[in-house]
Amino acid sequence: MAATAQPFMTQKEQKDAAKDGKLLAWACVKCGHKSVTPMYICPLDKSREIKTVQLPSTGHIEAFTVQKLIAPEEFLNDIPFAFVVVKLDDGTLVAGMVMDIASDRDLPPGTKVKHAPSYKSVYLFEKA
Amino acid sequence: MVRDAYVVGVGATNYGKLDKTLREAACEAALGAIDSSGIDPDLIEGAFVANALGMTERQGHLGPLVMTSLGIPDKPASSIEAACASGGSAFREAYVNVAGGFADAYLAVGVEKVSGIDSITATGYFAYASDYTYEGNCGASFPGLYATIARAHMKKYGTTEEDLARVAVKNHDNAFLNPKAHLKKKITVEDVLKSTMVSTPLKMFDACPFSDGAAAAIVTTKEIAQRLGAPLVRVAGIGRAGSLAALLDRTDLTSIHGAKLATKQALTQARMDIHDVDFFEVHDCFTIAELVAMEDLGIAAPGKAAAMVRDGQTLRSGDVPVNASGGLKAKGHPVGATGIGQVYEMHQQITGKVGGERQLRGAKTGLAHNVGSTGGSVAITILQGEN
Repeated sequence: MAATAQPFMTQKEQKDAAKDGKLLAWACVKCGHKSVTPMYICPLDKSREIKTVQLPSTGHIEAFTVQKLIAPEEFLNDIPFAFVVVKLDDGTLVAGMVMDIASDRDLPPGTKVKHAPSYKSVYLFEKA
Repeated sequence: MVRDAYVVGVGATNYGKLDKTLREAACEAALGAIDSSGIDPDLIEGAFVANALGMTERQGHLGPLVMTSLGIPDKPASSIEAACASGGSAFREAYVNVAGGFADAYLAVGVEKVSGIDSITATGYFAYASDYTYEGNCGASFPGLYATIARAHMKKYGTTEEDLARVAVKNHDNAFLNPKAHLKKKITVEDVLKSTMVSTPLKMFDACPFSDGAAAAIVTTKEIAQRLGAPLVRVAGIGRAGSLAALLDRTDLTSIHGAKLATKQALTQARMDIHDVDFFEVHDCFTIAELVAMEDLGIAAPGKAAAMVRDGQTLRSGDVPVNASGGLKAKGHPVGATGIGQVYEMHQQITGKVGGERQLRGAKTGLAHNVGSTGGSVAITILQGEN
């Protein structure tokens, strides 16, 4: 098995980039599969050739829930807000949050969003 | 290479808020399994202890505590953690030891104690079983992740909030008759729909409770089972699989891939079709999870589980009884104990020990579906009575 040509992106590098508004992912050089969670071997073709790619910062909401009652402790004061799965314009899925969402009606199907990181969450999105 | 293995004894505490320590609850269940089988504890060659949230009691390394109290301190015990599938996973490892010929008798015991911590802390502990960096850090609670699955299921198949509510109503009806159940209260669809919204579209009554509890099972050889005069309940098939850990990595949120894989493994080993199974205990941590489970198991075609529930097919009197115990939803969900509690229920049903109204007729073959987190871990267990 060939060793990888370059070191993998670290999670810290990914997080630091996201703070600056850049969404980075691990991508398979061979099949093009992209993953926002750390990927060192591609789950689709088992390729070890992995590179870092930048993802688009806009997309639409694929699935979501409005957190009305509970959330991880650091987000309790933000209730109500939406936990969202966003399909970015290139098809990559990323999880995130949209603040100040009180009802399902606030996020109609197909709502377009853009990445807008804050001190609170590097995966904060807002309506585009 | 693989020999047949049998469940000879099972035990369980009541589920709910228990005034017992982890060790006390685990030992109560283990002693129940030992006593119901009549096995000499010294024949037990080791144990796997399923426990996901030991830190609630500031206690790690639980295994040796349990073995010491059971009077077999020289026998090895290791903890198994696979989130909410810890129990099914520990049972599988006990089975593997016996089936693989490494031991003639093994104990699987699962235990959880959450009532000692407040609900915000407990919510946090449950969320730690997600991919916390990418899910919890985006505000997802555990109900939030299953709510996202529910939303995707609704969008793809037109599943409604009433469909989800009917699962809760059925499971509460079953738990009402189960003396060990945590929530013994009948409810209506209206009650579910009016209950407090947690994570849209899931409400309080769509969710399982935080439960304390323990369950245990002893797996052994046919020879020992016969010698003990135990009813012959064979482990007919076992499956273990995983799925991409985080929801955001999955192209389809309406199904748990690992559940399909593990089911196939278990059915292949058992040389069975899903329709050969008489009854099911599935992982309904939230109402939506029972519908997804039915579809992943192949009881229902994708998107068709809700109609089966609506038609009463999953009632105790239906063609495919699902969660006659009350399920996680109403029997309760003491995380580490849950998968072994499912084995307990199947064993009781197959041996006719449930009795009364809750006893299923013709319950010869049962299947348990146990899921960790949103599917990162899955354990499937098929038990079959031979008498």
